[in-house]
Amino acid sequence: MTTLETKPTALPHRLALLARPVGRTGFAVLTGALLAMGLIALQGYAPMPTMLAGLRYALGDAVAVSRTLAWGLPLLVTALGVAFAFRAGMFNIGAEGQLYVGAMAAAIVGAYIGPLFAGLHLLLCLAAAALTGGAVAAGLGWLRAHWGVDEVLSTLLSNYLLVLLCTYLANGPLRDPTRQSGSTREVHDSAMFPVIVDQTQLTAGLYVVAALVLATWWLSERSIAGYRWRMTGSSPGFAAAMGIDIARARVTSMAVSGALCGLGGSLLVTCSQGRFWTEIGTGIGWDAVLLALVGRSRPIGVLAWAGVYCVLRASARGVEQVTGIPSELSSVLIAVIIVAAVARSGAIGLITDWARRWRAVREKQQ
Amino acid sequence: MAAMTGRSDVHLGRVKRSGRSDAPAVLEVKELSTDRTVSDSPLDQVSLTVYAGEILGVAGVEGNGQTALAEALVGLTAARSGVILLGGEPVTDDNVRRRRDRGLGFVPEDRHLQGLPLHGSVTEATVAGRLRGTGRFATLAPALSRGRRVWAEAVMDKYAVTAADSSARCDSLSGGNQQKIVLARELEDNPACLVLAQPTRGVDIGAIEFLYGKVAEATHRGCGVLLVSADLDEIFRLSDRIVVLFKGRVVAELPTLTTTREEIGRHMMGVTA
Amino acid sequence: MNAIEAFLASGIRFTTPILLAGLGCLATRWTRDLNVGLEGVMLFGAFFGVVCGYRFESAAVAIVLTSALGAVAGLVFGILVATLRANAFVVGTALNVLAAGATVYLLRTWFGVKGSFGDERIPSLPAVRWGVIGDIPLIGPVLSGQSPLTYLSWLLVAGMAWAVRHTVIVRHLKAGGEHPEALRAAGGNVMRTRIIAQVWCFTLCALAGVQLSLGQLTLFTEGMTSGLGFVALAAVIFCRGNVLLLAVMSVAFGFSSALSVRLNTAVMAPQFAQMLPYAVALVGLIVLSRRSRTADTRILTPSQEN
Repeated sequence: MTTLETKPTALPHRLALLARPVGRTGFAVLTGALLAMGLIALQGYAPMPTMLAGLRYALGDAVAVSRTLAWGLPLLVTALGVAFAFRAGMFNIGAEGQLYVGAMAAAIVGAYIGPLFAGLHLLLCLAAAALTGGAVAAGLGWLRAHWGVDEVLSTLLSNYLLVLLCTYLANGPLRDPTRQSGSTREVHDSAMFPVIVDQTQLTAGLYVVAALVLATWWLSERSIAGYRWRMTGSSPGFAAAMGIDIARARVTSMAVSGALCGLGGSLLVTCSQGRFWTEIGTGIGWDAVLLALVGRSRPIGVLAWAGVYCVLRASARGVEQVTGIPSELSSVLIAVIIVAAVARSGAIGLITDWARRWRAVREKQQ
Repeated sequence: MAAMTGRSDVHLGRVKRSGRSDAPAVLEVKELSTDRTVSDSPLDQVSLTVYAGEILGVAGVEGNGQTALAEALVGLTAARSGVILLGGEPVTDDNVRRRRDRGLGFVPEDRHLQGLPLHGSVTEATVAGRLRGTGRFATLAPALSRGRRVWAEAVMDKYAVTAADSSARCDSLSGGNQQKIVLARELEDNPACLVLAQPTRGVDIGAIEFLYGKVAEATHRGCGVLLVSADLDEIFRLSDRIVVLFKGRVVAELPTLTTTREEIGRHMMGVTA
Repeated sequence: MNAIEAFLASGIRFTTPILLAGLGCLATRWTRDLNVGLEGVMLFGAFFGVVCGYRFESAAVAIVLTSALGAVAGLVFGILVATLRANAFVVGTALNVLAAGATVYLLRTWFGVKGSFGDERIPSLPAVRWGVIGDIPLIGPVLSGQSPLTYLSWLLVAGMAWAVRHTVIVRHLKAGGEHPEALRAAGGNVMRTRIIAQVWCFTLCALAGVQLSLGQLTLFTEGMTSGLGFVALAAVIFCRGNVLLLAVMSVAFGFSSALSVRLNTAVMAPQFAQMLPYAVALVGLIVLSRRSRTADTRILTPSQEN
């Protein structure tokens, strides 16, 4: 084995590495498209034109793309947060709750402090959201690391506690008296990201998200800290024997994960809504968990799947506008797509197995 | 490499005995006891000393405290009482990282669980020691930098690891190659003392001789080795002295050259009359 | 009926869906394919209970049809998990998202409504009265006047507790999870065992959903399970495979749910009252983890490799 021998195979090797996830995603998306066509046909519409109309709504022009992107930013950040913890072996499925407290924290800082110099105010909002989300998740991570409290269940239950707490705040002490119920005061203008594409809600938050994606990728996949987190996640025994502080890795990975989820929530407030209200992020936390699962916790995989899901979601909106087919179609599709993605290798194995048996039977008959 | 030819036990023993009388102790264990675990007997007042350049074999029927001893020495389980000295300094309250910083190497008995990141790459398995000492702020630096990858490739060559390249997954390698990586990582750290648990379990014959050679080389440099093995042949071939563990206690300590397998066997069965 | 009796009776009513879902999920715990999609199946069950009840105007038909649909869905899920080796955690999570989306989707396409659907034609589960038993103070309203599914759930507790000791099927289920090779060697079919567990789980969860939608309000609301499935999941994890312990946990969660509904707004804000079952579960989880050092409570999560 010399380097000379390995060099010529390096490029095809890399391509092959890339081909597998692309093939996997392609299969899943194809399944989703077929199902979408079936469902649309079932409602009595022509599948292809309807789907194209939906796609045009999602990606037809600059405004459409910006709208799709604007909707996806909080989800992407949250999904990255969930994936971050998954990578360190911590199944943080409390994204929904962490997103809510993050949104609430941003709304409080945005409305009750200031108005301030715009950049500073935004920074404070985001920092508050990251801190609250991170603190919640780190607390649950600490319970897991030191007391062995299963984080899957504890984060799951924390969702309901945190969402209810935020609901209480929005209906009680922090309620905006000028509005019916369930929403807080509007934040100051200095706590809102400026819009960068007119007629849409695409704001300068985009740059923040881009920076977060890069930072998360570096932190999780490239840095020494990320190495420690990943080893703790995939081989805790190895990590411990190498002198990596597992408990610390668990707590810190949860802290970063919760901070990202909190940031996702703060983007909901500072990019579009301008206030906290009780349904501000319903379902985003769970979508984020799905994206992290199907993206195999890799930042790049999550980014790709978040893109697929955003287009899907926006297309479903478009389909709803032209046909009246409910836009919840997108939730149905993403769930089925993900099941298709995880069942794919098993299904292929089964089919090849059947084919082999069938061939064997035929050979016997001849 | 004399260690690789034929019956090398006598040869290895002699080489190290000659240097032992004035060699300093690298590892001293005094009356070490641990709490009960699920899988192994707890340690009960274990005392032993490993000198620089020697190999101390730990024999015993499995489940008599060998795993507990290795894990307590490395710091994976806490001691209930007793003292562990590394190079004369007490490390009993230190964690794994600090003990490793003080020159302790560890080849775990279960390489799939503890020795390697089974789903990780060879590089990731190799660089662990080099990443350990990174300070608080340097943790944002790249883990698998070009320098470390090149270093990992060089180590692979040095230890004759057969793998496509350093990005190959550890679980795609044979047991022998996996163990070479584990030993390479530990020895390249230049430990003063190496806890070597079941070094050749599930390893093919060719690789076994190679691994023995590398361990012998390390002792020439002055590394003291605590060899825990269920394989008596291995202990007789490598060690200078043998301690026998029975139910978590040291029931015998004997020089290898003047003892017999029968004698060790009796102690292993608890017949210590 | 005084306040205490009313509270006890509603406690048992709230226990029913948790207990039914828990009993179903328990089988999947035995086979080590813990179904985390309880919430979704219950939501589907609640929805189809209302749909079938509305179409056929009969509670009995609704119960039978919904549980049959549940069994079919369980078959599909079982095949996905056992035969196609899809990770149960991933598929279960996807199922929860699917249920939340699909029920709204179907509600809008079939009935053209958003939010909730109720109609006079939807039957409610009848209250079964046992003559004089209902007149006994305190325990009378608990024992009498409950829905048939409540009685079924307690019969199932007894039945499953008996089955654990005396039947081969439970032994097969447990072997299918813990020692599949042993089961295979003994001539059992691991695949089939795992699928059966999922079918059982889905059937009972569907019934739990029917109890939610037809047992109390006779209407369907979007997301009406609101985490009850996860509470049942917590109960299953706490009980360590023991049926009677599961029943005790379910009663604890059921009564804290009942308490959360009955607590006066003067005592505490409704949101804090609603937190009760989740808070009880979380505190219980922490206490349980403190007391045992084994990783018994761990949910099997997927490996994130390759």
